[in-house]
Amino acid sequence: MSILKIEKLYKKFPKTVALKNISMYLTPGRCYGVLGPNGSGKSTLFRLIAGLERPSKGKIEIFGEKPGYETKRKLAYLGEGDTVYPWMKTHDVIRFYGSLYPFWNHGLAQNLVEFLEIPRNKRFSELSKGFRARVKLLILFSSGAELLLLDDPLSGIDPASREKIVKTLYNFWNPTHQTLLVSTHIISEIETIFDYVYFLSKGEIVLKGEADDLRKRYKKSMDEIAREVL
Amino acid sequence: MKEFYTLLKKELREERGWIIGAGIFLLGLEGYIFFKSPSWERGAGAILSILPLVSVPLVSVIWGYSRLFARERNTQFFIFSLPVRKELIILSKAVVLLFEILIFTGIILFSVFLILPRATKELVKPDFISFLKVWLSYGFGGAGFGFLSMGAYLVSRCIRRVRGVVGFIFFIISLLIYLNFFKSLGKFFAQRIFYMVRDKIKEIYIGGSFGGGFFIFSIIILSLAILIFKRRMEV
Repeated sequence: MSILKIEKLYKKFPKTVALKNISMYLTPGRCYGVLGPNGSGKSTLFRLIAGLERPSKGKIEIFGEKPGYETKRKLAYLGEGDTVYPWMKTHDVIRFYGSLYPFWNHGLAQNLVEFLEIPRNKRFSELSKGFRARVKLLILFSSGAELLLLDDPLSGIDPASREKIVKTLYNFWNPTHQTLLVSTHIISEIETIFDYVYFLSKGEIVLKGEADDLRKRYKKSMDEIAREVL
Repeated sequence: MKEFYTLLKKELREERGWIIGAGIFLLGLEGYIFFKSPSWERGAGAILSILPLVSVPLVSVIWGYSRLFARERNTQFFIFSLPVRKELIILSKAVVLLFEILIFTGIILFSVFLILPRATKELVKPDFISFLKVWLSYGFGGAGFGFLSMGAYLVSRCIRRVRGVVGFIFFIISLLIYLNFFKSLGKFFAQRIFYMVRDKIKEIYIGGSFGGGFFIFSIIILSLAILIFKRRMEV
């Protein structure tokens, strides 16, 4: 059974073609990486899966359905930028998102606040970029969704927060009922978590495969493979 | 219901600063008119006539700009990735818009009735039911115009989904058609909603509402123009 099925997907903007002929097939309980430089189409791909944009051509199926209200109940999307309301304090975040996600895990949310060392009495707008990323991660994991989309979670973040985020991915991801799809251009710090990777360049998949197989075939780390193929 | 309540609370919290700020501004304006007017009676008339002219555009400025800022912050975009029906998001915004208009008109009317009971007697009976009728007439009338503009905003955004030159032409045509219908739709609202109010206020209000309505529309068009210019019309 597939969690996510993408067939011959195209996304065109007035002056550019962001995605060309993308096909993907995600099965449950695995971590998939979408690796590519800035501008390779990673964020567009994630926005399409999250139902924030419509494909120009091709098909997306999440749990056998087109992106919409029902699929949004089963996936959580961590987008780029400040996607949380600036006036929200930690308890506002938990209350607001906890009321909207049907499978929200309150216990996990409290644990994540502790683990991620998120200040409870500061508004989102008062937090540093690293802590804002931590709050977004708290929402993502507490959502209880089966498909978690992380769009460039390490981008522009200080080393301490990056380390915390990577640790959270390793410690709080539950493969028995969650599938991870992570895009990044900072590969070295996160590469060991991937089971399967897609290398994206100029909107096209240029290489894909099981992470271990690729490492064996190229006799290189994922970071080095990326430097070679991208 | 739980989702709607959550969204409503969020919308109210988002607009809280604006509501308090605008409320204080309205009270200040009212005080200014009151002290400037040569007689109490003229003061009451001036305040009541300026109420729709000020409160509806004020709400429109708040609404238009808050939408713009929300998009700038990404949150307006991101909320559509959450498991919430689009209709609920729109409904919560509409309810808050109505609430804002009712708050602003309520502040002005209540203080006018409190300060100038003799003068307002000329216009409306000084009892609670009359006050309520006038208030609701003002409030829902203003909201009617607000919703018309909100409708135009949504239709325009849907049409903008059609990309390229064809989309742009459709967009412009839809705006022109809407502008053409706006006056007659406004008349329809004014004629049906304000039956409870005496003729004097009715005349003043219709004029004021048209002004306010067009002001709302201009703000939304401006917001749309900026958004289109920035090519952030993806939701």
